[in-house]
Amino acid sequence: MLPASQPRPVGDDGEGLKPRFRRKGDSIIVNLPAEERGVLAQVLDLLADVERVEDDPAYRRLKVPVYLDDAEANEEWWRLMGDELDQSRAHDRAVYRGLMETNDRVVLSDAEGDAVLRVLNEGRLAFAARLKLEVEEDHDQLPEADRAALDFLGWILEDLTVVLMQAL
Amino acid sequence: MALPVITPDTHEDQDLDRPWQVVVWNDPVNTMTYVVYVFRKLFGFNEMKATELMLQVHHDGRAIVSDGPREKTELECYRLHSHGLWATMEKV
Repeated sequence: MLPASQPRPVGDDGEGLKPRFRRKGDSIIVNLPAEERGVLAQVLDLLADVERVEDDPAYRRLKVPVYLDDAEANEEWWRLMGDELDQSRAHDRAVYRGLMETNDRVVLSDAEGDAVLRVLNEGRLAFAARLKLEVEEDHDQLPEADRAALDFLGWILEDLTVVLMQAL
Repeated sequence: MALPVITPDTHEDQDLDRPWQVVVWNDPVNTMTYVVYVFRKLFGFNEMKATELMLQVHHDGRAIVSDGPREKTELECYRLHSHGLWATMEKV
């Protein structure tokens, strides 16, 4: 596992350290600059692409086996649970799209925040798989632009995770 | 003459009754905070227990996070997968 990512904002450095999510009672207030929403919206394109290409490390990462030594049981699990997982992911992505496609101030419920969090995490997993990040040490060997993009997603994810954790 | 005593072979039944456990595996991408959050949210662990399990995953490569009947543990695997954690099923 990786430790928390350092902030790597895109756009105005003055906005750099301001939290993008904060809690207000039962709600989560979102403060994402438009250019960051534009970057984060690309996660959806990445994930849509993964669904189309089976021979893809990102696809394999998102469909990891549940039974390591029983191919039949694994196939059965994915047959029974796979569709439900796909539907759940589709729902999460719809919530995520709604957030990234608006420039208005947005307030999320915890359930919506959870959906956004899962998409962010799924996007990081898919992106890292395509970068062939297999052990923690690979992170520091990534090309600068790829590492910055992965860390940016990680920073946003970390910010939202902390806010969601406050409600537990 | 006494009839031979036949002891039923219950090995298979015992095997079916054996509980299952859910194993979470380390990966190089999920962040520590995120894993703690998922453990707390899905299993209701307090912060200390969730952190302890997260560190076990991180250092040992895997940790058992739950056990019980197959149906229950398969559902827990589903919930972990829906959060991007790699969870597998094992017989106890």
